[in-house]
Amino acid sequence: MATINDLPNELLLLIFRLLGETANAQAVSSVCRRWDQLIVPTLRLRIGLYDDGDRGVRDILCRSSRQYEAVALDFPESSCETTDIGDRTGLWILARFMHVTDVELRFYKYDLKRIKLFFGGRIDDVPQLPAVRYLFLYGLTGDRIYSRFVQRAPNLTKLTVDQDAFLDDDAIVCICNGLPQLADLHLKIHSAVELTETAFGAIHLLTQLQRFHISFENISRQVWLGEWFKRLPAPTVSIENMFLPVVMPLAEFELLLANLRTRVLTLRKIFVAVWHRTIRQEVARVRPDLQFFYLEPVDTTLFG
Amino acid sequence: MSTIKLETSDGVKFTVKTQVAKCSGTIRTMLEDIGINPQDGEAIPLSNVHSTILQKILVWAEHHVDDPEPPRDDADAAKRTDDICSWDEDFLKVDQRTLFDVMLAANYLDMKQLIAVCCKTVANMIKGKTADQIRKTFNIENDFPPGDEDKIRLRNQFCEERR
Repeated sequence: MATINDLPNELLLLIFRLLGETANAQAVSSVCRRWDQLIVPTLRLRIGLYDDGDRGVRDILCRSSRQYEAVALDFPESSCETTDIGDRTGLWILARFMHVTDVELRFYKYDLKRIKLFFGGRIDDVPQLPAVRYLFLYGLTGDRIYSRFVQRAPNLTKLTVDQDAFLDDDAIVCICNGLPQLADLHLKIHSAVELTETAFGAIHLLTQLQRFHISFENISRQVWLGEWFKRLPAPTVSIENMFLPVVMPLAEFELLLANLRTRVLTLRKIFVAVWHRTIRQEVARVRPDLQFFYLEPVDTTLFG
Repeated sequence: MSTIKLETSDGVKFTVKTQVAKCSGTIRTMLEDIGINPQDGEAIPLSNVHSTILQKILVWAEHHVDDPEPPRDDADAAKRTDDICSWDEDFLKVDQRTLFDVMLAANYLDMKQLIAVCCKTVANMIKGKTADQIRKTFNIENDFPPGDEDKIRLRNQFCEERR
């Protein structure tokens, strides 16, 4: 006379994997001790180390015997001394879960000192960085940061860099040489950076790349881009440009659209100035599937 | 058409088409790898399966014997729970005791498709329920020490589903 708890772990886990939403997982973990233990590997511990220190995180984790396998740490913009508490808590968490196999680190406008704390200098404090699978950097970092994390996080498969002026040709070459296993690369290029074909040649070294996204504020500097995208083998490639039609010569834009037709480049949305009729008509003609995001007609002199 | 004999834990013997019996990975292995010869007329003992459950499972196997192999590694399809065919849905409209007995037997017999459809059925019984409702549905005892539930809620606030 079987009940649900007569099922072996592997069958219960099969069931739990079908539940999907986090809300279901949370209910399941509160049912009984056995279910709680079983559900933990399907959960990711996500700690936002924001300005109110650690919100009792350490205390709660200390009283729990859960051994998380996936941890995500969000480090906020550093503004005051409370972020030091966040840093220490972050390092403490990384040191606490020895069986972690999947770490996400997100740094928002993080200053160089703190990134060095995780990726350089005090190496002995951070034994688990090989488990880092996903790294997100937002804002300015610093010199040689990229060579640091290439060494410190050798198993990175997903990388997002958003608006870092230090992400230049050299940094991209360093990343692509050091992390050939990257499967997901998401780059938002800082407006001060002018990439050359050196950087894009390096991205071609990433043979495992499944998704590549690049975003420019000013695409007009990247005149060779259309040709380059045609040759990139990643199945999903996307390009985003805030003011693409306004700043880009029409001939270049047509080249880009021509590549869209090859389906190498999948572009889902495009930001088009509402007043720019010629471009809008051209886009609608060539790519009727594109979703338009119209910009308000603000100060057009901004875009030259 | 070749048949084989199966003997359940309560000593009941079933004569089954070999093709239907081979829906079970366990029986397939016995016949093909270990080389048990069904022509000997000796029944294959299934010491973990009761006759009432085997009868039910054979009905399922008979219906699905000609199903094509499911595509492998289709992560999206594997996560869906709303794609149970109506025949299976009716087949699994049984009391919980039978459902879990069928699952245990299917696990023992290594019948992946039957396990999958049972798991989907159970997942649908869990979805959208609170912990209390789940315990009530399956008659599960709350074995957390008093007060621990609050702790779980507290630490769950830091958790999200892994994708």
